[in-house]
Amino acid sequence: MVALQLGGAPAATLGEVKNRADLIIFWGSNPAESHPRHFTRYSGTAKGRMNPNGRKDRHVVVVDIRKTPSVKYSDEFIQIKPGNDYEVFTVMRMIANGHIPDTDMVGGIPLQTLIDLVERCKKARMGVLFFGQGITETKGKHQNSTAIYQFGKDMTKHSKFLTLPMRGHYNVVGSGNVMCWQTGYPFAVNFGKGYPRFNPGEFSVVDLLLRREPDVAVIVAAEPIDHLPYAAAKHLENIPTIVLDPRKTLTTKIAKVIIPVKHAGVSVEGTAYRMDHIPIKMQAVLESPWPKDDIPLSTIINRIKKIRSEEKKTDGGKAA
Amino acid sequence: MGIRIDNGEVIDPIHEEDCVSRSVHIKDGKIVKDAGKDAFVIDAKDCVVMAGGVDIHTHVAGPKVNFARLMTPEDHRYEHITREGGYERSGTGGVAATTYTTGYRYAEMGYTTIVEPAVPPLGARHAHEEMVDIPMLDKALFVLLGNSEIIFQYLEKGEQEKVKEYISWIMDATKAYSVKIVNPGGTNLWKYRGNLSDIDEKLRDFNVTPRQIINSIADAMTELGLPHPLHLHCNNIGLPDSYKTVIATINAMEGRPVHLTHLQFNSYGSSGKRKFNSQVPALADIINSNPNITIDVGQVVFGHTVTITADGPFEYHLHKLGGQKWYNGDVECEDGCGVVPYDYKRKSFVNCVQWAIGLELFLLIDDPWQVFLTTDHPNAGPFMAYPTIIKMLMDKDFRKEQISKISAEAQLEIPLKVLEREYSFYEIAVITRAGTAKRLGMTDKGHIGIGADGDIAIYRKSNDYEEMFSIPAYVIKDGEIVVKDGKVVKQVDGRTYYVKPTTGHADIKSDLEDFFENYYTININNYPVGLEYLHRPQLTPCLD
Ligand SMILES: [Zn+2]
Repeated sequence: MVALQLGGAPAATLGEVKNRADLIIFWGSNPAESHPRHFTRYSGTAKGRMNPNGRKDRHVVVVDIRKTPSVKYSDEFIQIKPGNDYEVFTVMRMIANGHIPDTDMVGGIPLQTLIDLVERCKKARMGVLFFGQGITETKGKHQNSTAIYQFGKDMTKHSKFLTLPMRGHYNVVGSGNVMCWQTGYPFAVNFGKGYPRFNPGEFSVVDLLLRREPDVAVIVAAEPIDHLPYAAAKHLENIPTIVLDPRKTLTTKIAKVIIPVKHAGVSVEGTAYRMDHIPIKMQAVLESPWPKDDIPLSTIINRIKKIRSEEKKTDGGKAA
Repeated sequence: MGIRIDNGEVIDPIHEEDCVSRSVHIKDGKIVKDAGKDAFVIDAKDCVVMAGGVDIHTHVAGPKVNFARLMTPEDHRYEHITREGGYERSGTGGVAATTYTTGYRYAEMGYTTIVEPAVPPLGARHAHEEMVDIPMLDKALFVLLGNSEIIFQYLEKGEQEKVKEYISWIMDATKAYSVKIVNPGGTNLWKYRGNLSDIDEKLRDFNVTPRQIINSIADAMTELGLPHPLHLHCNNIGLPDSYKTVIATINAMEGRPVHLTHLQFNSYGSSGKRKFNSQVPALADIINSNPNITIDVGQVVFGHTVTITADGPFEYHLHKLGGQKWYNGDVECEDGCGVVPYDYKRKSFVNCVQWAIGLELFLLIDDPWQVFLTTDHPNAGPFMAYPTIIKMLMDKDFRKEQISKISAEAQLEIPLKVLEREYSFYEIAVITRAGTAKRLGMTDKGHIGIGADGDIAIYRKSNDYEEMFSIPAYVIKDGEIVVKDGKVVKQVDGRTYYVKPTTGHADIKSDLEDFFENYYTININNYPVGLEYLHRPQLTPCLD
């Protein structure tokens, strides 16, 4: 997200990949395990307008630190040393722009392999680089994504080339979109001053918790106890927490208040945004006795508003 | 309770009322003969009374607008809204403002209706979700069809009835109000990094030309009786000699009704020392003798902005020129999109010529019913600049002062330097509400006749037209006072207008099922946007 904010990216919806891409690179991404349907529906065996034969019409490359299960579906496997993505992309950008560095190996990869890969990218009808958490959660973080997007832009001088993140968690794209149209920012938004402010590293949830700033937490459809670093999660055990979730989770275990709610896309209809930002309407398939999650939330907000206005009345507006 | 506005001067061009002293009565959200004895009375002494503003073309909702917000965090920092008075939701500003801020900012200027003009069908659900979060305004969206591969397949086979049927189907599936075409065919070629430069050039995957695309869609729209005709962003936008493409396009339309959008970006020639000049005199001549054409301007505003368009190749071109951030988002089977931040500079010869071209379009097109005020928000600048633009049109001394500030080289070359015309209040009312409402076919808007929507803007007369149109004394929406002295005092939600043309012109069911199966990555049953995504949906009937 930060990388997108910094420089933008050449992207497309997944149907473009299906219809036109003849070169697919999975970089630090293991779709065979993390996104099993991705390969058949969009990127590997899918048939499309210019790919009538599906898999035969595409060249598939896997770049990873180890031989993942995805490798057996690929035409080419390139092994990279952990933590060297930024360096390798920088060299690939140099090659793309006509500068061959004076070295034999980069990040554990023979230089000639990179020269061949860049050449293949330049000649592609449409090349697509999918990158996964193997890149964004290792050394360099959003700098790695930035380097990838820059590589995509460099490639666009020669061929149609897309750089697409493989997003993981359910509807993380949807929450980013709504935050963005309501506040201007996709995450790490602080309303403390009465208007949205953005500063990842300061207002992101891990940083707030490590500084022990929050004195109450409302947690909606998230699993911070399981997903956050231990020291950050620890603070949640020391403050009142209100958790909205239909399931028992590690987070509900520490909750002071649990409000069971309907599961969006399971027991209540809703909209989820796919990793390529296409919103999909989700149908309700199961009955549930619990309310939709917006009902307890608006009840809480309205109650706070009422208490606030009563306070104002009794102390003559001093509280305001 | 009703509202009666006394002592104001009514400007209602649809009824040819020009500063008529009369009362205006509003009750139950509509203009009525008599609001009753208990009506709340607004004293509009020394004020003009107009219908609420209607913006025919402003990019405010949908996937590419949201990418523009995402890519301009630095821009949100210097302007924010906190919850107070009628402002129920906080937000941030900048040119790509948040949804709530957008609604407030329009209302503060006396606007009550807007059109989001460029939504790819797959983005319609997203655009509607955002529009629910834009308060204060009635809204509508145009769906993008100029690079639709389904339509291309039908065009290859000459199946015009199927084109018509598909347009009906897709308008219903996206809850659209009308159809827009952006760079017909060019955005499709961008899927191979290409573009096209001539309206008779063939595409790569389809035996189809831009001429066929615009004619076929325009004909289908006329036959379906859509209230707003084809809304067209021509090929070759932003390039020297793009005016030739406009002339070729107008000729190709052969008298069919068409709205040419943000024509400023297509009015460039290649003469002069810098091989870039204004061709507005030539274009205005043609428009003046072709009543089937309307345009909106896309007036350049100096300063920082962010460009957003479905014209993928154009955005890449702009990115290469300026080296700015660039987002590209091709949409499968349908269209594309690009986002690039941009600065219009008074030092830049090209930017100054562009700025002058906008004003020249306003001043050289004789009939104000053919030319509408837009900045193609935010492409040429933010809509918040409308009051300044109005002042440049109404006050030639102010305009000349502005001309004196631009690049000296540009000052010498621009046709604008000799233009003396000044707009009247009446003409301003045409280009900001009466004309746009009429061209949109929104019969209850843009005027103050009995039965019209109770959407009114009351402006205090002043010699400083910028101040006058920035700070309305009152704005009334659906019969309620929502803005006082330029500040929102009550938040309300508007309607979403949509059109549902007739179907049954041809059987396309199995074609669509095959197409979705072969080329889309989404199931056809999950594709249509239902009415549950619209707030206060308002069906607008087709013409007979
Ligand atoms: Zn536009």
